[in-house]
Amino acid sequence: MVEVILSILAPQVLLFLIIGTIVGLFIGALPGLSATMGVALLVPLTYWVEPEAGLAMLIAIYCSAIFSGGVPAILINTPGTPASMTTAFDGYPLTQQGQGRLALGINAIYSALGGIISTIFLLILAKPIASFALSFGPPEYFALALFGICMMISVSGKAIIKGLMTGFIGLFIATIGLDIMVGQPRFTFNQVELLDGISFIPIMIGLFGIGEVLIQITANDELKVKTKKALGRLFPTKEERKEMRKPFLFSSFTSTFIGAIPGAGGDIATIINWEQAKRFSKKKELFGKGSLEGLAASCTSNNGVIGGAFTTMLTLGVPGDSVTAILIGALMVYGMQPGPGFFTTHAEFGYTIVVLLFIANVLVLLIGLLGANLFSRILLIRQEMVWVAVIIFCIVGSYSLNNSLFDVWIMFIFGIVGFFLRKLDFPLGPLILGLILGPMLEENLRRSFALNIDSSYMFYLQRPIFMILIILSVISLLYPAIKQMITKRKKNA
Amino acid sequence: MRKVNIIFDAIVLISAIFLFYISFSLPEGSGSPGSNPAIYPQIVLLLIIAFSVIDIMKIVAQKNKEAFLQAVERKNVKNVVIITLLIALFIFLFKKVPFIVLATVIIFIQCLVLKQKWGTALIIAVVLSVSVYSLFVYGLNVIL
Repeated sequence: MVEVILSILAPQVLLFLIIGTIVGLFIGALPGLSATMGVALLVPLTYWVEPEAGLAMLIAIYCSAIFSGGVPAILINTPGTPASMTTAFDGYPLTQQGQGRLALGINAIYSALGGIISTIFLLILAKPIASFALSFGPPEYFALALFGICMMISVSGKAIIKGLMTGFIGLFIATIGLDIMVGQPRFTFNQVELLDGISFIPIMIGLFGIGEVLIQITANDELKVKTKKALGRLFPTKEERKEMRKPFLFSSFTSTFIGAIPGAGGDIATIINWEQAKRFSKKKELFGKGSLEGLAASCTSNNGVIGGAFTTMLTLGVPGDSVTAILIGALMVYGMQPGPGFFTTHAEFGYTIVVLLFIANVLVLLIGLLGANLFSRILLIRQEMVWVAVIIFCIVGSYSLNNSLFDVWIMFIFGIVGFFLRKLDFPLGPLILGLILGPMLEENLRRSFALNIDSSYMFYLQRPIFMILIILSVISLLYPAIKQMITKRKKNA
Repeated sequence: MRKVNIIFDAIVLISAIFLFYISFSLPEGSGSPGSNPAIYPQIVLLLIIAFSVIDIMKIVAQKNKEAFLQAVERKNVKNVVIITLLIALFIFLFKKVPFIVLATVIIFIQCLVLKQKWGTALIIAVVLSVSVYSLFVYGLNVIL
């Protein structure tokens, strides 16, 4: 272990870690650019250096890009990555209340802590986590997606019907394209571009980026003057830290497990943990309006999934998400095959990865806190300059996803739709939720039916994880109504 | 607000009914459980129809006289329309006109619409378009 730490403290490795953190910071902060893209672009560059140094840069990009997606979400209500959507729910209202710097501080601290805790889990519980993740079949994936979908009501605020409407529109948009089971085009109207479906990233960029800019241009700018003057403090107080402790601990634990499940990444983890933080909070009414608990849950979950994703990658050779899929390729080029025997045959390198993850998250904390002052300066820039910059980044960012103008038009259309939805008080969160969870929900529901040839209930009843998730979904749907009934009865009594 | 909301809901309702009708033209699949590609979207569309009808009924029942645009916002509508059209023009001419030229011109006009001075607008337009071009083309290998 000492040898591993010494090899990582070599100047070349540290330099690549810092470069990776800075590159990741920019990639994550720009809407449309993802950690996957950053890692994929820089993989070829790492072949010319020592494996430790190359991997250091890729891991640093991954950790930093996921964290920095929260920066534009907090400052301009435009999530840099899908995983930072719920960061915008509470981060942006905090900025509007003149506490942008505090939100950035929480983003840096809790993203780093989430990453560190999940790395510790990776070190201690790699095998049990991996076997838990492997026990997920189509019914469990369906139940997990359903559990996330139940959040639609929660993120709708007071406009539940409108929220459900946009949520189901999101679920419908996710069905457009080739059918996953039989390969039949659905709702494509003979348009070749629609065969692959509509990616949710251009939609998210349009709704939150262009939509927000159009709303801000329309609105009175008195509020902006207030937020410009007040940036606030960076660190949370002792009381605030105490308030955020529960959602932080809960999110860091669950996000590691969610990250370990192949295909369920940071976006799903943040959605589920934000919802659960709200459910157990004493200040539910603050969620979506600048809740520190909500922000802490989102930020912790962002980076908390990384340790989980690495767990399945290293112990099973199964990528937890798209970035770890690329990293598997990189490790194979270095002559290593991740899988059950990885920690036996390449024990030293396995621990190198664990230590690199740990240091990368510490760097996220340092750069996040040091950079918070610089990031928050964006609020001091003339808003007109920010608007034109956001517009051009939205256009180029959505184009760069697939080098497709179709994605840019989708982004534009949803920018206008986003403007109207906001003006008419339709919540945007459920729409993105439907888009993210829709394919997972449908695909696994239909696969479950296909697997259960006899249509037997026992097929589902014999799956404990499925049953637990279904029960949790039912409870999360019924709990608000039951609680309301109990409160009414108590009042009447 | 009421009127615009009802129009919006009506558009969603009509689109959902149309798509529901279209969904019947999808093939039924192999007959094995889960193979029918139409059932899931049909359920989703039925729920959209139900929620949009409920929302329309709720709005009709309400006596909300709040305007879609406040007095201050009405002054800025012209700017929003021009900016939106400029974005559409940008996307339309993207790949037809060299990026730096197109971005500089569009950003410059947008800045003027947003009441920036000529000099400031020109500096913002040139700096922003050149930096975005350099970042994406040289930094991220995106062909613009």
